[in-house]
Amino acid sequence: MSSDHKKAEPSHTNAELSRSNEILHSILSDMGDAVIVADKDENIVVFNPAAERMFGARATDAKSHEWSQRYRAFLPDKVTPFPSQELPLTRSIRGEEVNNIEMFVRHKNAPYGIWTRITGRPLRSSNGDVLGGVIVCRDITEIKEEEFFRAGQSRVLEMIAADAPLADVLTRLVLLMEGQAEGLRCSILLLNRDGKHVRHGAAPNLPEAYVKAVNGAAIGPRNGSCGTAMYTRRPVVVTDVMTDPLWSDYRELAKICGLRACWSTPILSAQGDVLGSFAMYREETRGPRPEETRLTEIATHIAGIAIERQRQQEILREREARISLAAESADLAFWILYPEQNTAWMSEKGRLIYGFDSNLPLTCDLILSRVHPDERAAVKTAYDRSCALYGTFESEHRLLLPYGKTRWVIMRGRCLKDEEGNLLETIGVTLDVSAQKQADLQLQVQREEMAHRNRVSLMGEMTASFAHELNQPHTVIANNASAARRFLERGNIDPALLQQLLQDMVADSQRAGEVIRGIRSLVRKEASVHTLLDLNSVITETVRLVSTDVLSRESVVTSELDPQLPQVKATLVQIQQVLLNLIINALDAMEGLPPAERRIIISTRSDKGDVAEVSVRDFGTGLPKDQPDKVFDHFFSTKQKGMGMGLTIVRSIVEAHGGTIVAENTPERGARMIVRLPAVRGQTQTIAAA
Amino acid sequence: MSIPVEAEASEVCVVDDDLSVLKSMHYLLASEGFKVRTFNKAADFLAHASTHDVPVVVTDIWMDQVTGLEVLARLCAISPKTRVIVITAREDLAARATAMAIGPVAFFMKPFNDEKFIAAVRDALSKSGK
Repeated sequence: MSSDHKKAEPSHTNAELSRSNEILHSILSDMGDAVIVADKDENIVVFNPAAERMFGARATDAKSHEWSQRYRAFLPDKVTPFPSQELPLTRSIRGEEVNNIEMFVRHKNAPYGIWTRITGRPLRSSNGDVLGGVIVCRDITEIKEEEFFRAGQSRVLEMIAADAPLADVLTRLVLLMEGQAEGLRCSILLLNRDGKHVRHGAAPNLPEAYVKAVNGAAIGPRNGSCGTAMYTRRPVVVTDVMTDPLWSDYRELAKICGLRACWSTPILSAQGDVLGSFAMYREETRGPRPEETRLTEIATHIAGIAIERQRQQEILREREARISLAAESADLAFWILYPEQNTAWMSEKGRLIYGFDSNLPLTCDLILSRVHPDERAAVKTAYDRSCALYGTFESEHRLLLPYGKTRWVIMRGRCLKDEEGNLLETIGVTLDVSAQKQADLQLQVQREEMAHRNRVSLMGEMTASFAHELNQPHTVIANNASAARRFLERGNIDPALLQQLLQDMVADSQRAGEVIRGIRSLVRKEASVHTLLDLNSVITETVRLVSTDVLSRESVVTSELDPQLPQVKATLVQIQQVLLNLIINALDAMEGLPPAERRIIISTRSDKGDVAEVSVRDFGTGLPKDQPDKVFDHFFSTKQKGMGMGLTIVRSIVEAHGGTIVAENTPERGARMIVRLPAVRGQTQTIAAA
Repeated sequence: MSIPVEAEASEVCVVDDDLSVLKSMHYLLASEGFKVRTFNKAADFLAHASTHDVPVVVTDIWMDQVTGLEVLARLCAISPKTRVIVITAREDLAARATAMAIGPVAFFMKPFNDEKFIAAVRDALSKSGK
């Protein structure tokens, strides 16, 4: 103000001063900002019209301690009266400079309140003494409301991001919109996935009867504002529902509920599908104002995001539920690992298997920590390798659960990558095989038990064979000792001959020892120990063991052994057991035949080097024609003496070695048992049957 | 190395499919000065017997391919005068009875008493051809 200087000049006349006051008054009257001046005794000396509008009162004689009460001044929380000592005017009278203080004011002409931002300065004389204070208050209600509106939108978006229930999100959105204009009521309707019917979304301030009536209604070309908007995919503005033909079905209801105008806009997805509608209702007949159209745009946009997200979640949840159902009905645990984020999801069954509470947030590390410490490193390595190759992985391992419980599981997974080739997730299943493992373990014990018993019973049949086997070397030893004694007695022995006699005796004692060891290994009840075996040697050895039986039954065993036969990894005594059983069975099968026809052919061959095949063929009566494989069943026997256990044990042993056994009738006559064992590739070292 | 043999001694044939046993039988008989001819296969012995005079044969009755009993039966046809001594590692009363019926002069279970065996061979030799 350029006149300020002149005003302070003592040379000015009274007329000039008066003129200057008029100008000042005029300026203060026309100002949009409130200007209030008080002297140092807290008497208000200037209170312009804007101040009267803003504070809803005139200047008073009241002192500063009453001002907060009189002018209804509040802190920004809108409820705490502004402390009188902190009032900007009071502070400026104290000589302080006050900048941008926000104050909320409420009075009868401004029931929703006014936001004001205040700047204050002390008034000083030319020598610096404080004469009073002045404040300028700017109405920032619109700015604040916009700010609140935006904050409200942010809160709704946050709710959407946090996956709050859709009804809560939409209700909050409707309340936010309703708060932006007086007398405004809003509603959101959702279009069912059938695309034909609507359901209630949010309408916190519409009568319940109205909400109920609309819920489930069909959409169509003349179905109220909302039904029509969704049907035509265009905004529908009905300024008076009492006269508009679109409202013929809902007129009475609208009348009861006091609704006159209804403007509805379809809510569309990003792809342009109709998701629902947003409607504004008023009690007076009119169309939307620009600010209401703007609110509608914001509301439909946010509602679209919320509904679409919820639909996607629903689809995800449904897919998840379907997979879970499929997995759980197959007793499978289903899981997804997100290695980048170290987070994971697991079906309820999975949480049960791994011992996680339903609500525990899962991480990849947490799941790995359940793997038994002995196997954790191996499982991690297998998993990392498959991640690196984007491949699949499969692992059979133990879990160690809290309280020391262990489980056997099989875990299978596949790594998935995104379009750019980054590792996205690993998706997979876990199968609890503890029960199966337990059964396997029991079965193995039973099998060993049974094999032991079977060997013992076989021993009876074979004692004679062993006696023969032992008597041969004993004969040699006895003969040689006797011969040596005789030569010595006659005094004409050649030392080289004596040496030969003694050498042969040593060799045959060893042979006797081997026979005894052979008996022991057949009878001893020992857990399986797999070694590399040359089946040809095992066959030769076993045929030797049964040779006496074969002879006594006036039968002939011929071997046709493939010299290229690959080695197998197996337990020697068990394979001997298999061969013994098959040979004895073949002998039994030919009991009724004339001796000349009692032949057994044992042959071996290699199948592409992958499999070592042993076949034992007899020329007996053959197997039951319709079901040759039934011979492997427990207690199935065609023999009068037989228990029918032999071939069951044989099959158990073969299968325990990862092999197969097949029984078939040969085209000519008799039966053939074919044992196939997996070959060990690239192994040349042989542990001979001995 | 040489095995002393008595001059003019008669030849004793031995049949056993077990080479070690066969060799030891050879030594045992040779230690008493017998001339010995060994056969690892029954068929070879039968072929020999059909062209040679065999006074005594010592044979196992459990052998591969051809059983000792079959050897005995065929020998009866080829060379009825041959005295047969059976040695076996297996106790089998039926086989023993059959063998005795066919006509062996002695039956020994392996391992056997050397004195009795030598005596049986000597006895058989002395009686052969008579």
